[in-house]
Order: sequence, then structure tokens, then C-alpha cells
Amino acid sequence: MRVTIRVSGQLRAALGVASLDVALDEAASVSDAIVSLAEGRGAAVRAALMRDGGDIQPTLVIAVGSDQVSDPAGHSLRDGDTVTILHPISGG
Amino acid sequence: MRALTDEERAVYEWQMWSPGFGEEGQTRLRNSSVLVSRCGGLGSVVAYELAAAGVGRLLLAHAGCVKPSDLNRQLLMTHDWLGKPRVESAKRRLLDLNPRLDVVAVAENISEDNAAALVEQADVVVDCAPLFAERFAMNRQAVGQGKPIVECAMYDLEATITTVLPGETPCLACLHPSDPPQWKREFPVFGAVSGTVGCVAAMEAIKLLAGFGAPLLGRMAQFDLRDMSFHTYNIRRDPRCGVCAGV
Repeated sequence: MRVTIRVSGQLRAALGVASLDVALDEAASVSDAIVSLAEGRGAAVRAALMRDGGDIQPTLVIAVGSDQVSDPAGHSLRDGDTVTILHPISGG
Repeated sequence: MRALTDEERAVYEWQMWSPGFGEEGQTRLRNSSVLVSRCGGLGSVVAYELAAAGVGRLLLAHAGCVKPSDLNRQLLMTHDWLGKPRVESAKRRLLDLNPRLDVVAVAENISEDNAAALVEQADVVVDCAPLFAERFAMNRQAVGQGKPIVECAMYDLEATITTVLPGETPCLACLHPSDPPQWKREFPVFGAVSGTVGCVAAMEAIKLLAGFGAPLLGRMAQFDLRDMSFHTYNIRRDPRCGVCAGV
């Protein structure tokens, strides 16, 4: 299946685009989509998404469609879903 | 609650025509206090709009002196005030706009030491600070004291905003349970972006204080002025949140 991943903030700056489509296995979860995004796109993208131990950064706000996902590993995706990853930003 | 004067009725006439607001809403604003943490790109516009709208008392917390790099977005800072305290420039500009305003200018950023006392004096808090340590300190106090807090943020041409009602909606620590390791203190941004989200934050505070409209409770608005995309996400409380789980 294919899903669209939207990104923001410093993650978008590291990735160089605001969104992209990725191909995933039929049973893929939100975690799988994020791991897929983190692979092969450079150290800055990986660091924005993953901790050193391989866990997803807990400071990301992740949504599928319009709803935040609190358990990325347990949330299965469907073909055509849009995953949004809001990288933490602040004031100034 | 102090009633409006004839002068105030004349100044705020156009917004008092707004359905659901009226003179009662204006009177509530007149008798309210708002804490704005930092008067930078976001906080300057938040404070300016709240002063224009007739909020009675603003508490401004911002350390440091005006620098050239402030002037693309910090609309309460002026060239003639370079090198002088930011919070004094902010107070001066706000009183030019609204001489009836009571401004408490604190030349400090929010910290664990002053957060409790400052939050205690406010009915609503607006978080416009750049450092997560400051934001977490204020979030803890606002949640502990049951005070609504408007959380706004920006980066490049993007911004996010949500309103926290302690015990009912996600707090800052639900969304970001620890200091984000990649966050950089200095980042690209235009004043038009901070001004846009600052205006939205001011409107959130006005709605909370006057008790009308539908604030962003349990929702996060995110927009990107680069392509003019606007989204709203339903966000969740974290049942393990170290700040609000027991509230």
C-alpha cells in the first residue's frame, strides 16, 4: 500500500520536502511508516525521528488523518492514509 | 467587577457588536489579567492585540535588551530602543496604544523560581517562549493552579497553536514529554508568521476570558503559510503524563 507522510518544522528542513509518498507492506503500522522514512535519508532525518536506541522520538506529535495517534506501533495503516509528523517547535 | 466607562464603550464599540461577546464580554476583559511569557515575535503581537482589545492587566515576562535581530518580528521593540530593556520597550508601546492598560513588566524570563508567582496573578497564560525549559516550568504551574494556557509556536513559515484547559485537554508535557533534543534556539522565521499565530493566540485568550466562541480545546491548529495549508488535529491527553495525569 501507499501512504502519504507530511512533515513539519526542523524535520521538514532536514528532509527537504513537506510531504512524500512511501510504499509499505499491507500490515504496516504508523511505526513502520516512520522507520521507513528514517532509513536512507541522512543522519539529520534519522535523529529527528528516532532515538539512539531505535525508538521513535517521544516528542513528535503524530497523526493519521485528523487524529493524533498515541500508540504508533499498534496503529495499523490503510492504503491512502496520510500520516502527519509534527516536529516540536517553539516561540521566540 | 468594575463596569465600563463611557470612554471604554466608545473605544470597544465595534467588537462589542460581536454576537456572544457584547458589553458583558468587554467587561470581563476589562477585569482580567493575562500573563504573556516573552514579548518576542509571538508575544509582542499577543500583547498588542490584548491591549487593543481592552484586557485590563498584562503581565509581561521577558529578559534582555533589544537587539537588531529582534526587529524583523518583535513589533513592540523599536530601533531607538536598541540596547535597552525589551520589557520596557514593550510597556511603552502598549501604553501608547491603550493608556488605560495596567502593565506589569518583569525583566525576567519564566523559570522554576518565578513561574508560580507570575501564573498566580493571571487568569490566562499565553506561552510564547522559545526554550522548552521555560515552557515546561510555566506549564507545570498553569496546570497545578488550574489556569488555561495558550501554547503557540512557529518555525519558518509554519506555526502551531492549542489551548490547554488543565484536567480536560492535553498539556504541553502530554505532547512533548521531554526537551526535544533537536530544537535550536535560533531558527528561520518571518514577522508575518509570528504575527499571524500571535493574533490567533490573542483571540484564544479573548474567547477564554469572555466566555464565548470555541477555543482550540483538545485540538491543535497547524498552518503553513508557504503553501497556505491549514489543518486541525484532534490531540489526546497522555494518561502517563508527569504533569497533568493526576489532575
